[in-house]
Order: sequence, then C-alpha cells, then structure tokens
Amino acid sequence: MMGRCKGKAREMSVRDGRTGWTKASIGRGSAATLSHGLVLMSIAVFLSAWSTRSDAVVGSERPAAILVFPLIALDTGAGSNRDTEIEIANTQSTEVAVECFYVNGLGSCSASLTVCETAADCPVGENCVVGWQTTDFLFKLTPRQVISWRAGQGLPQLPCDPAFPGPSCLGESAGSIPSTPTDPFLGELKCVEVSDTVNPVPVAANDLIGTATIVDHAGPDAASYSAIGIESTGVNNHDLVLCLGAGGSTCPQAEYAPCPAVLGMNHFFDNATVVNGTVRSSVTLVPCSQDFAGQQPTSAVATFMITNEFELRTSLAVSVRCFRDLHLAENPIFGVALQGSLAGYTRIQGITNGPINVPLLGVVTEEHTPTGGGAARRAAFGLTALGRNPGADIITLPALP
Amino acid sequence: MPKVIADGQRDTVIELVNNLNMVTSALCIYVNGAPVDPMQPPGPANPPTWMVVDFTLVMTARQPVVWTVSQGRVPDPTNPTDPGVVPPVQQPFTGELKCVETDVTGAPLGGNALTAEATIIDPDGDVGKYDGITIPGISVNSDPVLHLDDVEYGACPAELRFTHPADGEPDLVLQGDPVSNFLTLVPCTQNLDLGSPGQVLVMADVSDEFEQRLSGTFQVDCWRESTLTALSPAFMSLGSTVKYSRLVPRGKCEGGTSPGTFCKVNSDCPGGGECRFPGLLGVLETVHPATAGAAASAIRNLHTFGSMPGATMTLPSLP
Repeated sequence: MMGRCKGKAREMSVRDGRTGWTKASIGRGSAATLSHGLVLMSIAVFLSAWSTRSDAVVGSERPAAILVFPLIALDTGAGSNRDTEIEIANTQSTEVAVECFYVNGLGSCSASLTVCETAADCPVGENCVVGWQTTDFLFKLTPRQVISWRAGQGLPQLPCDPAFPGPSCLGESAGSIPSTPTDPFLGELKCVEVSDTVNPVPVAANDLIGTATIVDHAGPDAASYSAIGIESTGVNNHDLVLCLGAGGSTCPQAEYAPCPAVLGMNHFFDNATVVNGTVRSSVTLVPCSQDFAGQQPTSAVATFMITNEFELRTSLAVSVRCFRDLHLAENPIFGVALQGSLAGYTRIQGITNGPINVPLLGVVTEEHTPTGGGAARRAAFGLTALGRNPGADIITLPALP
Repeated sequence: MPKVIADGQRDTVIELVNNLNMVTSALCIYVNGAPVDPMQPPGPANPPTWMVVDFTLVMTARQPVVWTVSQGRVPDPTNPTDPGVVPPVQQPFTGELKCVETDVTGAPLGGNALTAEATIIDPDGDVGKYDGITIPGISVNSDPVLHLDDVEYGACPAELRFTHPADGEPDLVLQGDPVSNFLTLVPCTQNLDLGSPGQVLVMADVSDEFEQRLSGTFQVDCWRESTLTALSPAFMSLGSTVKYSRLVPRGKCEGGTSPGTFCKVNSDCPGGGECRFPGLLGVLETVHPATAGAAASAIRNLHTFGSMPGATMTLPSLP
C-alpha cells in the first residue's frame, strides 16, 4: 500500500496528457486550481465532470464512480473448488486510478476460531462471531484498459506496469491486487474511482464498469453478474467522506447518486420445479453505508414484502450486519410448499429501529438441481433499484499513513 | 428480453412482474429470429424468420407471472386474479420477447410497472439468467408508434459496453478448453405491425489489458446471435485474457437522395436526408468449458453509455 496524506485538505493529481503527472491542491469545499500544464482536452473532461448531474443513478447499466460487487466467493478447501473472476474496465480515454476494498463477511467460531458463515459451520456449542475485516488496495488503469483476476490469486503485476517486463504500452498502469485475505472467503468488493495511487482522493467521474463471475469446478458452474455502479453527481469535495445523496450537516450536497429506497426481486420460490430441476435461491445484501475508516459495520433490518402469483402477501424481517448471504430456504415463507406458487415478487427495504432507512444493495444467486440427480448449476442476477433514499448514505474511506 | 430460446434442447423461463401497487396490463410480443431453414446456418441466404406473435396479460398489484416459453401458460379458471394466456412458441424459437405496458384498451401507458428476468436452461441443467432490459416511459401518448427519443420513452443507448473473457483463451479458473462468447443483438427500431425487421450497422471497438485496440464492423438484421470472433476479427484474443468492447450502432439515411445509406450525421445523407439511429440492445452469454467436455454458461447484461434518440417501435394493430 502506498502512502497517503491525512486530514481533510489533500492533494489531487491530474493527468497531464503530455508531460506526466502534475499536481494541484484541492481542499474540502474549495474550487479546483488547475496546473497550467494541463492540455485542453483534460480541462474539458474535468469541467464537464464538474457540472452537477441530477440524473445520477445507482444501477448496473452505466459506467460509474463506485463499483459494488456484493458477492465474492472463494473456497478451494477439501471438496470445493470455487473462485470468482473479477473484470474491471476503464471506459475512459484517459488513465484512472481505483481504490478497492475486500470486505470479509465470514466470521470465526467462538472457541476454535475456524472460519464460519453460520453457527452450523462451528463445533457444537460454539457461535459464529461475525467479523468485518477489510483489505484495501490501489491500482491505476491505462486508457480503456481492462483487467481480470481470480479472487483467490489476485494480480501481483498489472499489465502495462513499466516495473515489470512485458508487452509495451503507451500508458502506464501501477499498483497490484492482492488475493482475498482468507480462503474460504465470502464477502464484498467495493471500488472507488480516485485521483491517483500516491495521494488518492475521490474524484467526480464515472469511468468504471465491472463484472464478477463465480466459477465452480463442481458442475461445472459459472454465474455472472454486473457490478452495481454508483454514479458521481459531478460534485466532489475530495475528502474521504463520500456522500451518496444529500442530507444532514455531513452531506449538504450529494457527491454520488442516492441509494435505492427499495430493492425489487423477481424470484422462484424455494424448491419450485422449473424445467426438470428444483430451484433454490439466496440473496446477498450489503448496506450502502460503510465506514472503512472506523471499521464500524453498518447494521440494518431487511424487511421482505413477498407477493405470490395469487396476489397474496407475506412479510419477513432479517438482520443484516455488514454482509448477509441469506438462503431463502432458511425461512419457510419463501418455500413453494407454503406459497403454493411458482414465482414471487419481493420488495426489500433496509431500516433501523427508527425506523430510518438503511438502504441496501444486493444480488441474487439461483441454484438449479436436476430432478434426476447431478450437480447444482447456478445463475446470478441483479435486483431492481426502486425509488431513492431521501437522506444521505456515507462511505468513509480510511486515511492512509 | 433479447435472448429467448426454445429449440427442443434449451428452453427459457420468463418471470414478468408488475411492481406497482395497482392493476397493470402488458402487450407482449415474441419475435422469432430463427433462420428460415433451421437446419442450415443463418446468413444472407438464410435470413431470420421474423415471425411475430403477440398476447396480453393483466396483472394485479405486484403480481408476478411466470411461464416456460416452449409450453406457454394455461390460465387457472379458479384463480380470479389469473393474468391470462401465453401461447407456446412454434419451435425452434430463437428470438426475443418484448413487453409494453398498456391500459385496458391496449393503448401504451408509461407507468414503468414492468420488470422481468429470463432464465435459459440447458438439457444438462446448466442455467444462465439475465435481467429484462427496461426502457422507461416518460411522456407516453396512446398511439401505437413508440418513440424512443428521451421524450416519449427513454432513448436507446449510444453505445453498448462490456467486459468479457477473450474468445479462444482458457477460463481463468476452470482451465479447460477455450472460452466462447455468444453475443445476442436486436435493433431498437422495429415495425411489428408491418413485419419490417430492423437493420443496424455496428462498429466494434475492442481493447484489452495490454492496450491493444482493434475495430471492425458487422450488421444485425432483425435478431443476431454469434460468437464474437465470427462477428468481427476485432474480437480475436491476440494473447490477451480479457477484453473491453464497445459497440456503436450507426445511423441510416431516411429521405434525401440516398435513403438506406449508413450514416453518422445528417450531412452524410445527401439531398436533405436525415440520419436516423435505429439503436441496439443485447446480452452476452459466455461458455466456460471445463475438462471432460462439460461446460458452464453464464449470461450477462451489457452496460450502456449515452443515449441515441431516433428509434421507433411500431406495435401490431389490434384486430
């Protein structure tokens, strides 16, 4: 990890298309002071990004400033061989820098300290104590560069990094990508577009797209989903507090699109028979707000309002702390036996006791097991973002030493 | 839903949902893009069938509807909220499904009530799933010509963008035979009343992790599915493992002295013609082979960039 300034006033580097990196000082709430060395194109790009976008959205369709991969899975232990292939592309014709965070959603057993997802993974009598371990890393992509890596291996050398021999490129990438901190790993990856890899601060630009594919030798099996993009509004004060929507004294102005108020999920009910197979699903949820600086996990109660094909409605509430991979089979309310219906539509809303909205993001994984036997095969798909949280969600980046 | 398959081997399950808390109707249209001679490869001498079949569903508040494309949906007479009949498709069917929100008379309505998923299931149980592409209604009038112009409905994207494993390279995890990517594309502009298939010229701009950049063009008539490398040499791997691809649909001249000519701007259309952009939508299926002949497929939605007003979709006339 490279060094980074502390405090609110920070330095931001802006790419000079001809002569390399020049620097301009940008403090919180101040206007940008650009180096005279900038070429006209850089200024045009910078200024166009500066104008406020009221139509900034959270979704999986457009390039964005923040990418959220709610589900990254790795398990290469005995009897398993599951890994996640991650692809991230810079859609811009200039270099971009990216700061990413693995968030480990697994815990450890209370006495034996073995890795666990639930208490069922621990010896009898032990609890699964959920942690919130984060691992961050920085890298730089050349114009329109795309990279891919396995979560279990990382990418120690980026293509086009002049520090390593290889095909020559016009641009220069930098940084490295670690593997996930544990194996098994079940958690989230979040990436934020920043100014550079030396003194990174968030920037108002929407240049990143990404896809995750969870691949399993059993089956074999592959399930892809697009990363959820959180767009910049075009405004950014370059501090470490990222305001997703506006609200309160901390976020007087929205720097990024507000999170969705509700998530819509189209799904089969558990154990439904669909084309010669039985379906089971799980939904992975992560809070929009995250405090990477204080390492404080965000908690919410996710309420599920389920409507079946007969318009009958049922509801359920489950807790989400930092990360939750909820197997619908955990509750019979999602079962085809109880619903008597093949498919359902569920609206998911995160709240606290207030009730105050705690918006969530997520992805659904569907597992089809052939009726005649054989390995389960999976598919993944996104949730529909509905409405906008009227308040602000905050992602706090850590200040590096 | 640009990719719907029911060919006797693979089948597709559609989940369509009314996410509003009120009754919503939908006019849905299957467009069969299977070649006229299904035993021969598609091409100029074996064009898409372009057979259109439509049906109507009435969904109560937040009601989901699900059906298997090969079988359709039989209504339940005991269910007072049954949404209606879905006809089975004529097989082999390889094409798309479009659903348009309407009022009870069948006139278009911009309530933005509809969301959908499509699940494609192989005979061996392998599954791929993608989200139905949604086009929001903005200021919708009741005529059957839907203008995708950011005024009546949202415009189609100026570009489709996506990352993907390089065609012909082994999968990072499975390390089996080479990966294949199957791209499915449909034009936004369609005249479903006259049965006039849309046609788009597409420019592909492909880069990789080493900054290698190639470009090429190809054409989409009605509905096209192809491996990337068969679409254009621009998608060749050249030793890379991953690609970032942009697809830019070109316009077509209307009026003037050279109607039908591909164009970028109005000045490309002599005689006062107008350059109209038909737009493009699609999904990508990646097949990850493992050892021993088995393979796993995954479908992903494509990212979009910008908007390109100009496409129109003409709904079938009511009998």
